[in-house]
Amino acid sequence: MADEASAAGRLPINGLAARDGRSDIDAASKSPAPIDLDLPRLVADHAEVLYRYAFRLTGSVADAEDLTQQTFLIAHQKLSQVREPAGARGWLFAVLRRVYLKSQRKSRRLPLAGFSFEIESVPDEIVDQLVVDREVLQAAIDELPDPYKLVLMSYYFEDLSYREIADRFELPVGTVMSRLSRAKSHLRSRLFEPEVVAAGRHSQREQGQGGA
Amino acid sequence: MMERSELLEAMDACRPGSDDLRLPEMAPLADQLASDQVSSWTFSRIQRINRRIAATTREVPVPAGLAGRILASLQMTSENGPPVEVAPANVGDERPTPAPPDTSKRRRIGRRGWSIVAAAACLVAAFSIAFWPRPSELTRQQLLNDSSEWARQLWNGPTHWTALGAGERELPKYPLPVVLAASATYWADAGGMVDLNAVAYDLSSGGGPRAVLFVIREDEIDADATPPNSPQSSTGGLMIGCWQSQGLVYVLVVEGDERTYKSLLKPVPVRPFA
Repeated sequence: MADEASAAGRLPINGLAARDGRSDIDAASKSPAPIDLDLPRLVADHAEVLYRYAFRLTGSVADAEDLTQQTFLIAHQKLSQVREPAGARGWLFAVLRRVYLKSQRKSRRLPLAGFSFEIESVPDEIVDQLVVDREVLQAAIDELPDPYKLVLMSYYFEDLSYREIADRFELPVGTVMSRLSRAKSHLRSRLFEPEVVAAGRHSQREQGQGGA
Repeated sequence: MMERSELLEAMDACRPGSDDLRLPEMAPLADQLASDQVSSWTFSRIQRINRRIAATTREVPVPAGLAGRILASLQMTSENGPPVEVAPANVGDERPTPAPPDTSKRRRIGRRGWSIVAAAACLVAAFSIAFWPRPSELTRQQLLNDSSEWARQLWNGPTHWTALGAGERELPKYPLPVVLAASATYWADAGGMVDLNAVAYDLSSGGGPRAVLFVIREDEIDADATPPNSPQSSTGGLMIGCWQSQGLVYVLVVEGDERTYKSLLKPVPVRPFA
C-alpha cells in the first residue's frame, strides 16, 4: 500500500482545482514523452484496489462500482497524461477522488463536541478481543465529512504518514494530525461504545448476583 | 508533559509498525512514552486498535465481473478511435467468454454499431455537462444560510482556537483579504463544518461584538469579487456577506448591525459608470 501512496503524489483539496485532484492528476505527467499504457492491463491491475477504495469513500456497492467505472472512463480519455507507468495507480486514485468529490455537495457535519470517548476507559479484554465489525466501521466512516474521511483513508487505506498526507492535501501538519485524531476517535467511539456499555451491564449484573 | 489532546493527536498520527515516532516533531511523544507508563500503555492499545481497523478497512469484497463490466463500458463509450480491446490481459474474476464467429460482415456491422453508440454517448455526455446542475458548486445562498450556523457552532461549541504566531497576520494558505479592516489573533480549522478546506479567523475585539471570517478554498461559486458594502443576510442578529477572490471564498459573519459589519471592511469604491 505504501507504494500506492508514494505514487499518489499530491492531491491538494483546497479550491475546486485542488479538491477535485486536478493538480494531482497533472503531477503524474512530469516526464517528457507519453508511454504506451494498455487499458485492459490497467483495469486488470487496478480495478479491484480502486473499487475497495471507492467503497470506503461511498459506503455503497453500487456507488463504488459506478465510481470505479467513471474513473476508468476518464482515465481512458486522458491516458496520454500518464507518462510514468509507476505513477498510474496514484493517478487513478487521484482521478477517483476527483470524481468522488465532484459528486458530493452534502453537508455532513462532524459535531465539534462529542468526542468525550476515552480509549483508556475500555477494559483490556475488550481491546484484545476486538473484532472490527465491517458494517459498523463503514457506518462510522460514512458519518465523517469528506475532509476527515479523505485524510483518514489516506492513513488507513494507503498507509500514508501524516507528513505525506499533509503534503498531498496541502494542509498544515497540525491540521492533518487534528483531523486524523478526531476521525479516529469517532471510529473508536462507534466501535467500542456498544462493547463498553454491554460490558458495563454484564459487570453490574454480576455485582447484583454477588450481592444477592 | 504533553497535554492530553496533544498527546492523543500525536499518538493517533503514528502508523503502527512505522518509524513515525522517530520524526522530529514526534520527539515530545517519544520522550513521554519513555518516561510515562500510562502514556506508553495508551499508545500500545491505540496501535493495536489501529492495526485491526487498518486491516478491516482494506477488506472489501470485490463484486464478480467488475473488470469485465468496466471494460465493456469503456468499449461502449470509446469514440471513433480504435476500439478498446475487451480481451483482457488477465482480469482474474472474469469468466471466459466464447469468441463470436469471425465473419468480416459481422465485424463491420459491429464497428458501425459501436460508432453509433459512441456518438450517442458523446451527445448525452455533452448535454449532461452543459445542462445538468453541478452538485459540487457552492451557491451564495447556501453559504449565507449555512455560515450563521457555522459561526454559532464556533462561538458556542468547544472550539479549538489557535493563536496566530508572533508577527503572524494570517495563515499562509488562507490569506486575509486586503479589504479587511480588522485583524485576527486566533484561527480554527473549519473543515469539518464547511466540508471543504476552510479556516475561521476570530475577528472579535475585546468586549466588542463577535465576528468571524471564514476562508474557504473553493473557486466555483457565484459570489462577487468584492465584499458587499451591505450585508447580504441579516437574520438572527447576524450580518453576513460573502465574496470570492483568487480561489478563496470569504464569508464574514458579524454579530450586531449593519454599522458593525461595515466597520470591519474598508470601503470599496463604487464606480458609477461600471
